Amino acid sequence: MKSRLFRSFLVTAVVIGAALLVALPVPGQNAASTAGKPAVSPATAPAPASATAKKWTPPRTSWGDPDIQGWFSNRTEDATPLERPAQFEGRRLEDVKGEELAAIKRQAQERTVNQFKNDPLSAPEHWWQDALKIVDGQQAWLVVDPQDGKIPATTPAARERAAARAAARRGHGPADSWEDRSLYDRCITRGLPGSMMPAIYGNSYQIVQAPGYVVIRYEMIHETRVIPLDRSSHVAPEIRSYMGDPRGHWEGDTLVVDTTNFRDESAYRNANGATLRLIERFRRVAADKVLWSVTVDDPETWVKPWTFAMNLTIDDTQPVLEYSCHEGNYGLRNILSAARAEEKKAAEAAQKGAPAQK
Amino acid sequence: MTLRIAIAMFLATAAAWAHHSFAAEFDANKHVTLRGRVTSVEWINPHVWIHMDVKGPDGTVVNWMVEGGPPNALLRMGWTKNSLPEGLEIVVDGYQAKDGAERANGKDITFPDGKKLFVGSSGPGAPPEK
Repeated sequence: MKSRLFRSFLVTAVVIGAALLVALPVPGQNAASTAGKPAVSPATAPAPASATAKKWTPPRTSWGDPDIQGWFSNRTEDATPLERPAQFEGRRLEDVKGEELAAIKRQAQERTVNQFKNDPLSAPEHWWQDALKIVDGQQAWLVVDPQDGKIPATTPAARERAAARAAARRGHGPADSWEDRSLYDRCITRGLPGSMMPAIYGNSYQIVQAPGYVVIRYEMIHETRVIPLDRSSHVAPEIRSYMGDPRGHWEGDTLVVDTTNFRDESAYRNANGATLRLIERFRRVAADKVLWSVTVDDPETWVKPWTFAMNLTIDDTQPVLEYSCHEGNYGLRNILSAARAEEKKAAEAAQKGAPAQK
Repeated sequence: MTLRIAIAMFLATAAAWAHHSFAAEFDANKHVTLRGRVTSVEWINPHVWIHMDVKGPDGTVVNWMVEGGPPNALLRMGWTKNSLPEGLEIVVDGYQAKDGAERANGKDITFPDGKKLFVGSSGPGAPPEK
């Protein structure tokens, strides 16, 4: 075990060292907003993230497009918070690096392990390293724009929608029906960008290119996006889907994907599915890394657009495996039967005059 | 990598590989110890289910089903369809379903050689989704 830990330490040190040589998401390198008017411009190409990245020439496909294909995993960022933690108040993302970043990741692992140490069902410590590689995390938080690392304030319209949703839920239990459960519980979708976000397992992705198309396969919950590169118009506003309607094009070495036409149930962070627009950028910044950024623009939900970014790491040891989630989703049925059993218990307790117990 | 090490690695990691909330399905206060023989293993998504015959104190045999990790996770840790053969005697330490059925979320499996391995699959150790 000692030699394994030592090897793990060495690998971690090498990976962290290598990570410093490749691009880190840089605040402001993606689409920015201007004077309160959303200005998510697909024409805004990310600036080179570092001198090292500038010198590196990304490979091309046989038909001449930048080649971003491969098996990817972003499991190293599972413990990376979306927004800048309070401890980094006033700091810039690109300045939190080296030993400071490594220490944060070690602490994140330690915190996670300790948090669940006494829980009867928690995983032992080495799981957090072997499966998720928390200590190999490459950044301290994900939001790169605005520079304070915080998601902008929500609009009054967004708060009204949230209130209406809460009102509609009144009188419902958490599992009165399968429809009360999340799309994730129901094996339907994690939506977008949810399908690419780090998760507790199933962190594998595949990008495949063909002339005129880029295809992304997400292991969890098994979505496949086919992105046409033909600059055609989006489908009519009445046609809305869980993963939205994507259109891509190349801007230099960067693949820019513009996705709209979301269903409200899957719209990211309770955005308005009809007005939400996600601009993703994929740029290969090293032999084993594609920098992925997402600009989230919905004037019905946030006062200005915002962007988060992370490196997707090519990892041939983690190919996408089948995750036909609905195949045997006994969990959903069991959640409903558990809720019915609890209701029965509460009703019996009430009949006996005892206080109802949840 | 020997199968035993592979199994140990998986079982030690399975607790947090949850698709659903443990608390919505299982009762942390209903601890169960199940001793019996594997009758079948359903290698299905999103979680594997181990079926086993458990003999009660009065001699009655009841078939229990025990939730394990996702097949992808098992495969990545070296499991194969032969890892829990039919007839293998195991002891499962786990938590029963809230609805009182003979269904449990596994915590540990003890193999015939006494090796105790972790198997819980819906532990609350999962960080929230971003």
